[in-house]
Amino acid sequence: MNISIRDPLALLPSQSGLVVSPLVERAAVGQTSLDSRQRAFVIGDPVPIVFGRRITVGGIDIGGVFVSPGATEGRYENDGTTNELTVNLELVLSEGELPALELRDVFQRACRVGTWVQTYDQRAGSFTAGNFITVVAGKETWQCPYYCGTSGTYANMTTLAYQNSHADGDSTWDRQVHCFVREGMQVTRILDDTYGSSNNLIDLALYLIRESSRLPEALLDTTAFENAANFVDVNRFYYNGIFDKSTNLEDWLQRTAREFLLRVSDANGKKGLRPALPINEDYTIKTTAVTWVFDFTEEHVLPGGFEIQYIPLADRKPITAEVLWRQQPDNDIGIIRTALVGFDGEATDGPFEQYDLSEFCTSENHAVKVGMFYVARRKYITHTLRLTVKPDSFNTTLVLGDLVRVLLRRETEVEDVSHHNYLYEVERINKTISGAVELDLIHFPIDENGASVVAVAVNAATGAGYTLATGREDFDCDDTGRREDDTPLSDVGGNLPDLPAANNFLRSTTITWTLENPEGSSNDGEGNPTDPFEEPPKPNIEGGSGDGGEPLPGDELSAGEVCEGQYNKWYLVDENGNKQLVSSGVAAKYLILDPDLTGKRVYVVGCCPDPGSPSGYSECQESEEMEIGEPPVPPIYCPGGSAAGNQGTFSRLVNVGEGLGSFTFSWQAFNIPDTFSISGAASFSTGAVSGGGSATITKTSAGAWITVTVTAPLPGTAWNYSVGCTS
Amino acid sequence: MANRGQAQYLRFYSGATTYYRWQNYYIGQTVTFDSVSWTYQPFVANGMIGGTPGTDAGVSIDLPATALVADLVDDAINNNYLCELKLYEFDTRLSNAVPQAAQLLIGTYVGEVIGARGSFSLLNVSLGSSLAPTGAQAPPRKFNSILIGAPLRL
Repeated sequence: MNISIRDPLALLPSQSGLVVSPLVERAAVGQTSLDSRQRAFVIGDPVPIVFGRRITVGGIDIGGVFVSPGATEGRYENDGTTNELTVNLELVLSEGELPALELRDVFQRACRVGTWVQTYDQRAGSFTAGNFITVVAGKETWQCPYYCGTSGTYANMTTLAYQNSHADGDSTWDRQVHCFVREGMQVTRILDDTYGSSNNLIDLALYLIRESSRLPEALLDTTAFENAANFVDVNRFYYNGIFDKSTNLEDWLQRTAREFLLRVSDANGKKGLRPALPINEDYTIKTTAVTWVFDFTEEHVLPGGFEIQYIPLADRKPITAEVLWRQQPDNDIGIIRTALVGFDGEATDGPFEQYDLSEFCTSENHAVKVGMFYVARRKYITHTLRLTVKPDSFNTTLVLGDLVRVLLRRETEVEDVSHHNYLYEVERINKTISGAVELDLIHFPIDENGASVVAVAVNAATGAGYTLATGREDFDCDDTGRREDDTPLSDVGGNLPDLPAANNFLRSTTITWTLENPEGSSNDGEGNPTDPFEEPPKPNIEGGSGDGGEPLPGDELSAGEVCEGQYNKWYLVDENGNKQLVSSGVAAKYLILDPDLTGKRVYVVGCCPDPGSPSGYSECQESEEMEIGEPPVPPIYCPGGSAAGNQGTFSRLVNVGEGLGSFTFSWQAFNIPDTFSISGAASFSTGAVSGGGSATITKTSAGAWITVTVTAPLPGTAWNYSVGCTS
Repeated sequence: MANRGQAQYLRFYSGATTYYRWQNYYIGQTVTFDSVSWTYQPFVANGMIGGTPGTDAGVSIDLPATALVADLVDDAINNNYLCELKLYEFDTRLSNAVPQAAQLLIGTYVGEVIGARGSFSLLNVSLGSSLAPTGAQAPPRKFNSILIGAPLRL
């Protein structure tokens, strides 16, 4: 399906991320419900990826991910005397390998309780899943799950096993467990080429591109990815989140990159990410004068090659950005924070637009800079440009993200020359086959120092830096000493026997072609069924007076005309299948004279004229064969043959004997006129006559049969005739 | 612009194996450039576009639908061949007979052969990224029976 866009240039602000308005505003996605029922994974759920790395920046620890893992197996057993319940859970923490969690970082509800072990690429712990609840007299029976799970391979996953005991009547036995992950899934980090946890978005992006899409390495712009990785690292934009919602990778890249002040780019067919702001060589945001690489003037712009699109008012109105992020204390559960970002004195009481970074952002500065990026771009960037220019020296040097100046004279009044004089960032380059180059450019506003006003605003945006209290004072529900216990979880695990078989259906991809090369054989589609609409028309037989057009002796048959000048050949077919040509000629008819032909079959062959054919006719077509029926009245035989009647039309075959010669025909019409006609082996007509008469009629052929037809249309008439034999 | 010539060079390859090298400027000739031979193929590339995803970034190439090309396209899609298109610019006053050593590379595009369409005599081959613009792709793995058996039901 092709969708035609009336004005593609109008899409540019959205495509480039210039205009970003949240479609939905809702509760922070990074919020975790602490005291909910334990969740279980379901077949088909995405395997979550816990990605992040807690680091210390300026004396403050930032990062880490608070995870509420789902369970896959459970064991429920009670004490036969005290009814104390022991719960074991098998949990999947993340895809990939994670360093060991610390004891202080594992919870049930908001409490650091239970016994935990962790492993990778296998099942954690050694308990056997099942419901082993027994009824204890005088105690309320535990209502635990009956479907407690089987087991699997847990390949390439980090798993946890949790065990805890609950006194009789404790209603918290089925509550959710949580983990604070300081070090997420390990990958080979792009910046230091080391295997370990990472909080760099580029490491996650590359992992997803490689694992999800199997994009060839040749299509990854490694240099752009490295630059982007340095940019987010130097500017401390870190990813600390859980990736567990099924999504389109391209969509995710575009959406997430924006919130790290990056842009997805396709350069030379290679996918990459590049900073959305000008940067210095050390990857910091450039707040000094920018330089541009080329000036486009009237000399370059082709006729009709200047299209400008102003950003609509709705996308330019001042807003206050409400950016959600996650504050993560070191020894407590994280909380969601908001940062309100705007320009002084503008939109202080709204409108507010929500940008939810709480899924991965744990730094206030990150949140504030992203908010300012959105707000500043709305404020300062006024338009986009599509420029079609002739090729020039820039052809070999201009790349996406470069800055260019467009300087055009506007001469609308005498002695009043103004200029279109703006800087632009190159968003898209199309080098066409004609040589002309089409550029999509985004306005790049600069201040009086020549620096990017957006970059200056973003660079200056910093968070207030205070830490919001969590509101929690009481940690009594923790096991003693656990709040500070940084002992790593033991690595205990091993897969159970009798794991599910791999019931995959893998079909060989080797295909043996069964179609032979048509070379040397006919290639005319002769096996295809015939198409009745493409068949030449067949003549049909007309003129039969019997039921359904059945030909009868005395009938004169004609062939239905399929073309002008049709040449007809009439054949009789006897009971042995022998054919006899009985009549032929252009538009020839066939008169069935002989009543003895009853039982034989007749058909006609029609040929259409074709001057291009040697015979003068195209391929002839045969009609269906029709059987000749019984004559409607018995024939008359001479001598002494006669007939009589009254009003009506009557035909009768008369045998006057074979051979050339003549015979006598006598008629009587009495007072009311009638017409007597003879056809077949002779031809005669009295016309409308009254009274009687007689004639000697000479035969026109040697055949024995003539047809006498009496036409007596008037009421009260009467008539008779008699026929002599040929002599 | 009159002195500016542009030649396109097309290479189908996979890993270290190059299947075809074609050029479309020197009609009927096999020319040597970059120490390798480029045979003539009357293809037409619509131009090279680079930009953000969604801005039509990609290349399409018209090729004559010869048996060789039809087979190649089939193989390329089946086996994830890569296709590299390079656009060179040169001064036609200096030489039009053979590629000039000093010709300038003004564009290059690498893509997978992601699709082809056309008529019995012409094939239009699309180059791009197999990163599908629609459909769920990430996270890469889903829980299945082999990984977790029949999971706990709460």
